[in-house]
Amino acid sequence: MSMVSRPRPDPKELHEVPSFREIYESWFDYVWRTLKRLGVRDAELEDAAQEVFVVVHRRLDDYDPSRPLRPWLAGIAYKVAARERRRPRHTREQFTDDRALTERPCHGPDPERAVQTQQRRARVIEALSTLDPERRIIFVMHEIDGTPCPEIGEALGVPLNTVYSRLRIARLRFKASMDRLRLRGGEA
Amino acid sequence: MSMPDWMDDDLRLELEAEREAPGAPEGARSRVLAGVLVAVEGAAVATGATAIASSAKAAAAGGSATAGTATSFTAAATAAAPVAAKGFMAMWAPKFLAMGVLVGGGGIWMAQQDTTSTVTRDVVAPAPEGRPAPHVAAHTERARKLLAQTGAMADAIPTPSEDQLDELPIELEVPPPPASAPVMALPMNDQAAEAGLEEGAPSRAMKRRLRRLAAKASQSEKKASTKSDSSTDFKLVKTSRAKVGRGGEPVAEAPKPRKVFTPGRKGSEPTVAPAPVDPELLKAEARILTEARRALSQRRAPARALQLIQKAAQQFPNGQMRDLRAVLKVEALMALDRTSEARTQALMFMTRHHTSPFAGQVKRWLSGPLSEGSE
Repeated sequence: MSMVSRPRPDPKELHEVPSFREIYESWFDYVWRTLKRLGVRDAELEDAAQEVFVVVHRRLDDYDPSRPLRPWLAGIAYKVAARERRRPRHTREQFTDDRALTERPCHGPDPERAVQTQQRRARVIEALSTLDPERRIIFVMHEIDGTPCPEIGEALGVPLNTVYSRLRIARLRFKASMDRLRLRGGEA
Repeated sequence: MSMPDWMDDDLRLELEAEREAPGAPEGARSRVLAGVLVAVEGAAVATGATAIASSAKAAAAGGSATAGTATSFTAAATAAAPVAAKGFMAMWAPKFLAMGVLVGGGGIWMAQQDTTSTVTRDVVAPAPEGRPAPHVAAHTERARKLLAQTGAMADAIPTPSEDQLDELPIELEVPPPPASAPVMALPMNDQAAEAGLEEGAPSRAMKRRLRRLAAKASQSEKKASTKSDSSTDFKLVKTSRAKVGRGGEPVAEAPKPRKVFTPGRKGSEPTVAPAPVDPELLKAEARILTEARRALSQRRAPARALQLIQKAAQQFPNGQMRDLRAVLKVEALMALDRTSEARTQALMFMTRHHTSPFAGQVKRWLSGPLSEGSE
């Protein structure tokens, strides 16, 4: 076996960096849903999504294609959502009925089931809103997106043990919130 | 799949429902893309020099019609440099800078998205049956040729505003191309053919206008400078034009004019001012259009959006974001259920802005909600 050390190949050479267009087309819906799960109001989703993709456009050269794209995008969405939360309330536009703007009517072969699914989603979003942002992003990335904890830690720049710790507490709080919401809805 | 111990059946169902949550609502995708483009262009204005440098990079990487356009503008700006150094800078350099910034921004965006070739092949000129598909290289070559015609003063190209253009054709006397450099005959898209547009006609009209502007500019330069300086400037202008003129011939030696059809108001040549290229103006235009976009997306106020779009059209008839303005107008009209007008506007968009990144969206509208018989 040769002991000659070879320079490590640049990961960008091995993996092709996707174009902005590809990322936009493939991941727009994911970014949209993630922002919503991170607590961005419906009326502000478009602005937040725009901000995410402006950042993606700016930082595409820094993206390491050997890493998965999903946590990278989730990390950007998390920061944008955090900025959105820090904005003073008076600078945001106020709407009387937030849900009316984006909620779609239930069509399809089984409207009853569609309504039930919609209610379930609404409960999840409401339960997520009870988590603090640092735990919320980890819970969303792991439990909904299925991202492994090491990748979450890498994408968010958080130590792995902290990820596990936050995830454990987030699960407990999320479950407690869901139980309360089900009781309120008369399900349990 | 095993269920984690902390999760019960109900919780699993709830999370599964959320995993399958629908994406963005109809239209949000294109609106956000428009916003991204505005934001990216705004950043390009802020870092103008960087954007110009990047436009050359984008042109090299893209190898496409749009990127080729960026190259041509950059080349035009380079050709103007010696002139600018002699005092012409004050008048033309900001315009070249802004044009380079804008085209560069577009070039970067298009090159990064790698959509230019797709747009050129599939959107710009969809090949009808029995006609050969246009070649991407031919578009590139034509873009270079047209821009070379305009020479170092490409930014002064007057483009009729959205409101000034209508369906009535007028006759303009413009010189035919010299035999040494025949205009490349390219197939047009169907909408352009239906509108009665002739290939290459706008560029010749623009060239004629350019000559007048150049003559005016050199006269004013003459008056402003000293006697010796003015003669030097005049020579430089002529040299610069001769460099970039078609086929290397002096522009003044153009052959006898001929009549062609171009769109515009009957009996009058478009009298709008040259395109606004001041970065401040561009920012102001972007602000209005962003507000219009928000009115459409957040407030659900298409009437207000339409007002803002009209305001932008009045303030910036030759604005650099005409394509965005046009696409927002189509969307606002659709939201107001003015389908017929929206369809007309969409067809006009495809005629005038077929290389725009929004062309794909407009094409989808034309084949969907704005298709024939959808009213």
